[in-house]
Amino acid sequence: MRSIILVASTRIFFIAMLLVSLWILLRGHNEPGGGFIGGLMGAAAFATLAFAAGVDDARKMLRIHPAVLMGVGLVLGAVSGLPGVVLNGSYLQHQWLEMDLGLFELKLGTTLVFDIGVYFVVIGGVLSFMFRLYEEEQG
Amino acid sequence: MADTLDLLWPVLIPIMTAALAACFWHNIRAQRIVSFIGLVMLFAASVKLTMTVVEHGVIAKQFGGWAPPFGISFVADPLAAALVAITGLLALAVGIFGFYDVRARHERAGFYPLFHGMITGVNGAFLTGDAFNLYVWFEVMLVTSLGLLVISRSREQLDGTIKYGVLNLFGTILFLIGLALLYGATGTLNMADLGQILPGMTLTPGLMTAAMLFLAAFAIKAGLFPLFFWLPASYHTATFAVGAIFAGLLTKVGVYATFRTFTLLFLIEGDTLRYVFTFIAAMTMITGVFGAAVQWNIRRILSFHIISQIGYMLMGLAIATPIAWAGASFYIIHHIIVKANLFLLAGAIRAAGGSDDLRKTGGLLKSHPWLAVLFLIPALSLAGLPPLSGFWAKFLVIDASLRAEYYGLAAVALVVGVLTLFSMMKIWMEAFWKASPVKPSRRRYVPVAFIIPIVMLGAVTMTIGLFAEPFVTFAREAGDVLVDPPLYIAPVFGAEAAAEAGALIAGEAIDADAIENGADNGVEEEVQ
Amino acid sequence: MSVTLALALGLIGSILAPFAAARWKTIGNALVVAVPALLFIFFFLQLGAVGEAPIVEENPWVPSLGIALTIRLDGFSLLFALLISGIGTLVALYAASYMDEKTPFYRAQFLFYILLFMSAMLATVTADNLMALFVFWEMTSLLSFLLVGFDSTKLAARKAALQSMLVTVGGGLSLLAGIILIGVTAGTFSIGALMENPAPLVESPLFTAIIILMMAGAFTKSAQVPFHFWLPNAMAAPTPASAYLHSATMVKLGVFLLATMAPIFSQAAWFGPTLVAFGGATMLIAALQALRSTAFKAVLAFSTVASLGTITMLIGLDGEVAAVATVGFILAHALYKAALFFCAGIVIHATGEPRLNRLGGLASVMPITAGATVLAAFSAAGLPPFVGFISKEYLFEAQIESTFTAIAVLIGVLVNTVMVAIAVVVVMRPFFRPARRELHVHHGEATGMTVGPVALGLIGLLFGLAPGLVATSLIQPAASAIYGEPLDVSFYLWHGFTPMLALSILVVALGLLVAKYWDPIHVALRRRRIFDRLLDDRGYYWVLDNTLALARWSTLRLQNGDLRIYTAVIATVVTFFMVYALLAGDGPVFPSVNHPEFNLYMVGVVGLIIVGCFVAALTTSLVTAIIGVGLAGYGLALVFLLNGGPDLALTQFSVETLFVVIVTAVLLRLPLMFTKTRTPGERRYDASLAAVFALTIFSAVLWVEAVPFNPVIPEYFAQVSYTEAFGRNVVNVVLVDFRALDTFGEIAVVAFAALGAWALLRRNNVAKKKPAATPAKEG
Repeated sequence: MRSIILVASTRIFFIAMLLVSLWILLRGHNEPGGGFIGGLMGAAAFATLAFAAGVDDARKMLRIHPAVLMGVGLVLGAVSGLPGVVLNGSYLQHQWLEMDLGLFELKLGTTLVFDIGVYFVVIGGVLSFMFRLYEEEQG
Repeated sequence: MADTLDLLWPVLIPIMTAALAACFWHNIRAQRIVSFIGLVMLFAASVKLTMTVVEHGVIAKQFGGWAPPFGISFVADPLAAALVAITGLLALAVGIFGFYDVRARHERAGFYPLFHGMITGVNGAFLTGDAFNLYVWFEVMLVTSLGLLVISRSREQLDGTIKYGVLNLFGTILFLIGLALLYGATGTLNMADLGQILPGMTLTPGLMTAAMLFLAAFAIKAGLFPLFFWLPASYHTATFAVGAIFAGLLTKVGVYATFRTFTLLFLIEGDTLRYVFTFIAAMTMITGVFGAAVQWNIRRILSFHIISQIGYMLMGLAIATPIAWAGASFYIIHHIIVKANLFLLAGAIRAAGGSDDLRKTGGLLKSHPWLAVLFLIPALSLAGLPPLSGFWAKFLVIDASLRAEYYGLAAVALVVGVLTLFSMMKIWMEAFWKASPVKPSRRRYVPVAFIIPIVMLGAVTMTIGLFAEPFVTFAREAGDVLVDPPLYIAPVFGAEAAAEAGALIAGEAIDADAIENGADNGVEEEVQ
Repeated sequence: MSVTLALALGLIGSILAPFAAARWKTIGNALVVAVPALLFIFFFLQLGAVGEAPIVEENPWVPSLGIALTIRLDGFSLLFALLISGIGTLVALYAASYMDEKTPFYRAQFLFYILLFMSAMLATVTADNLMALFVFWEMTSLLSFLLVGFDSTKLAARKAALQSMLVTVGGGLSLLAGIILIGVTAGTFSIGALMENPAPLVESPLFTAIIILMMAGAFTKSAQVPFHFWLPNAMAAPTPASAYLHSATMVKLGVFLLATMAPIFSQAAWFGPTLVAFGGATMLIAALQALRSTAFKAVLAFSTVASLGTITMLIGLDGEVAAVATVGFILAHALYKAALFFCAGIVIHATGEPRLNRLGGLASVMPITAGATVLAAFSAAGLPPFVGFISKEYLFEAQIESTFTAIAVLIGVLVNTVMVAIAVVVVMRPFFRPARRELHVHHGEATGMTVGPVALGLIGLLFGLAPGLVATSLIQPAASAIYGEPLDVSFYLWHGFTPMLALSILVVALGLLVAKYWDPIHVALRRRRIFDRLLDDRGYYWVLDNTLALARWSTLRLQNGDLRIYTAVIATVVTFFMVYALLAGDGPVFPSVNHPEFNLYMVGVVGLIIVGCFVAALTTSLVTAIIGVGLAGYGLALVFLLNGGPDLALTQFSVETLFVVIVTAVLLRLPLMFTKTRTPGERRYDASLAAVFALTIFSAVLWVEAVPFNPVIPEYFAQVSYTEAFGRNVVNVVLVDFRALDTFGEIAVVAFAALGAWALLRRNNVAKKKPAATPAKEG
């Protein structure tokens, strides 16, 4: 039997972990972090949910199939290199957009697209294993 | 100026295809369409790459715009380009074969992403000019091939996959250890860079160990004696389409990596290693053909023949003269086409005769005469009968060994040729000549999707055989690049790249914090 | 029209005509006959030109390897071309009739092989380039295989086909080695060029080896001792094929090659005597086996082997007469032996009885066949006024004039006695002596089938009566070609009262005697089992069976199905190589490394890892093993942390944690304890292997430490990470920018691994399904 309180608090915990994972992903270029570690964190978030609320809930929360998530991640990773081909004739030569926002200078690069791709693949990958294995156990 | 972007597409197209196919996880129809478009595009791209290399010689490309040795290089020499072209052709052929052979549950199990992923790994391994990147493509290949091998989830597939997985994983780990040692000793992973640095270095026990680790890792991958156990244990369990692409490509990546490593990084000097290679080549030929001679399942026969044929390719490494390399290069190209075709034919024979076990089938000459013709082309080519592609391949390696006075090796190659013919004729006699042991209840048809790729590959075999001149010339060019590392190295360090690198390293203070932050490539290694 | 064009058109016709024959019987058959007939006419028209000088036509093929399809039509090859196309015409005619009642597919397939064979054969004899010759040579072997096994549902036919293939193709590979060595030593494959300048070849130390290799190839093709056994077995082929390939044309390729190369090879003193020895041995053995044979075709086959031995001997004999005798014998033999096979085919076809001693009294039923047999047999027996007589006179003359007089003549007399006896027997037995038991004759003689033997028999008579027809036009150029210089040939019927005539009379007399006592001799010899053991194909089967036994043994040894053994073997080999590396490397096995920092934390952490490893290796509980591995993994993360790699440490911690989570899930489906599958001895071996492996790696790592690291690349990364790649976290910049492709590959690995697992771990797993249900549909 699952406690409703546990499930509810897990939900909050899940969202918090997901946000942390996103934060780790985004800061990665300058501080320890990045798509890989962020992805592992994100996957851990879903794993927590799966433990507490069941695999079905976690899958519902993910909305799309882990395989699709990985596919999208790979596409993002691959696409992030294409602007370089067009602009510099070199694949995976990252392009940067510099914006002066007054308070601080924001640099956005295609590296971020790449890192998001990594993030998706890692989440999708870990969850594929996790969902299958725990699904098996229940079934 | 050659369009060096040609180097990108043979890797990017299949990975994009795989990724898009995964995006359409629930829509099999869409996956099929994506897959087919991807195959056609890949074929076109690989042909274009080969044409560029034929025209301009060795070409190189830096990824991310970082100068060598800091960024990852892709390099296409004639051998690599030809292998990529053949991979494109084979992928297309097997893709067409798959229209009928790949079943709905294989498709639901992710056949298309895995298939294109494997092609990515193969092409990446052929094209990369970076030792660690080569390792990455090896991993891609290994993990996708595991998925493809076990796609039906039958008991025998599981058994085969475990053997395949354990032994290949062991090889991959050896490769990784070797890489770590090599990086520690040289500080670089770019193969062209290594090709400049290593010949000048003392071969300490540490470096020798690295070399031996590479040799062992690639030898396992290539299926050399006595490390080939995984191959006959697994290939016959795969589906026909998967078996064909495995048989054509996977071991050849190992052979290619061996060639690359022992021509560019570690040069074979001294008699001891040469004797070792000669011995391994001879034993690989013999044990492989022996294994084939006693089998009754077509695909088991063919699996063992992969091993024996790898022995012929290794003759190039043992003799290591320019013509020997040319012969070995020709041999690889010829063998990929022929062996994959034979695996496809095993599927067609099963469709026509009900089984790919020779004891349970027969009478196909009468019921499917055209299939008999289509079988004879690759079968006789494999046995080295003229005027098919295999004849020239065998001629070139035997010519090379006789010129270099490796008489024993030439004798082994010739005798193994007779035994190869023996087992091809065994298939012919049992499947085509012998009356069928079971009365077929109905007329069996070989699907058109099987015939088209078999005809395609057979036509290539015939073309190479009848119009050998351009292929021989090309193989010679490939051989010349293999014996002459500067031809490979120079295009990587093109004028512009070299200038950029020089300017950046010069002077300037180094950020100590950044180094302390662990600026090495360890992270990737830990991802495994 | 050039020879090249004629051959090319011939090939196209050979491919197309049989398809027509499958579709429209009458027109198709006419086309099938027309192809060789037209070629015959073409070659006939070349007689004049070739008499003056050989025709040479250059056709490049693979110039970078020195291989061309150059045509070289000299007198000797023209003789062969005429025999091939001429007899080919008759064979096509004969076969169309022979296969009349078979299905169109069966008939067309046979005609297809026959015509293709003819094209390949013509290309072989007209090739100037030895490699091209080899290419077509092997094609004739292949077509011979397809024809011997033509009645493919019979096991005997398949076995004979395989045997002929393995022997001739195996010999062909020996020939290939010889030819390649010629290319290596002389720098050319062209026969013409070799004839002009044989010095580099003759003076090469490899000359002996080359001759032996090419001789072996020729001997297998021409069924010389010790490869004589395959030809009689090849009689499993339909009779038209036997007549064409296995008596008149293909089996003569070996002697063709020897004769062609003889002007060069005879510069080795032992070449001639060796040929005489092997030819003589073949003649004797074949004659003996012919006497022991029962089947009609087998008798003819052994007499063919004997004739091939005769030709081999003649090539080995020195002197001008030998050259003329070789050519004359090849011509005469092709004419009468093909005719005899044709007749045998008619008889067997009509009666369904292959055994000679069961036949009889057929002269009244098939008078034309009987007549043709008589004509051919007279020539075979060497009776005047047939061409066979002339050739035998020359044979004896060549033997007498040679340096081997006594022995050669003795063999010649003995073997020709048997030949005469065979000639008598194959005429008398089936046609003129009453049958011992009732013989059922299915049908009479068809015109298509009798044309061939009658024509050949009459030609044999014509050439005997008017040898001038061929003496200068055909024999002289051919003999000159193999002699190496122009000869003045006198080829005529009546030589006067010579020793040769005396020998001929002796041989005929003895032959009649043997024929009279054929049955007792046959039975007496047949009882001697020793001959079977010595002379038939036991040697072949001994080699084949033992090779297969060795193959089975080696395969069972190597591919034994046990993964643990595979792993152990591979690990042993790898370790062996690494130990070799350590010893062969330049420097001491363990270098001294200067390591001033002695860090107590590190010692503790490393100790943790070691403990973890030992726990994992020694335990029999899966849970404990996982804890051990986890300990090592976390220890490693600590190492990263202590050495300033927080990113690595973080990743390692996460990976280890997820690893434990996933493995726990797996564990729920597995037995928690595993039994030891290795014996204590094996475990000791495994442990020592692991120790040696670890030591080699340890030494290698020490060496990495001992040699200063070249830091250019990491320094460059650190330096430009922020300035060029706009990131302060170098690790991340390396991952997403400097080496983004590696990362991309690795996320692909993660994705594909997950996809594979997703498919593999589906719920209706094989573990729960009954095994029989799944593999049924597997490919």
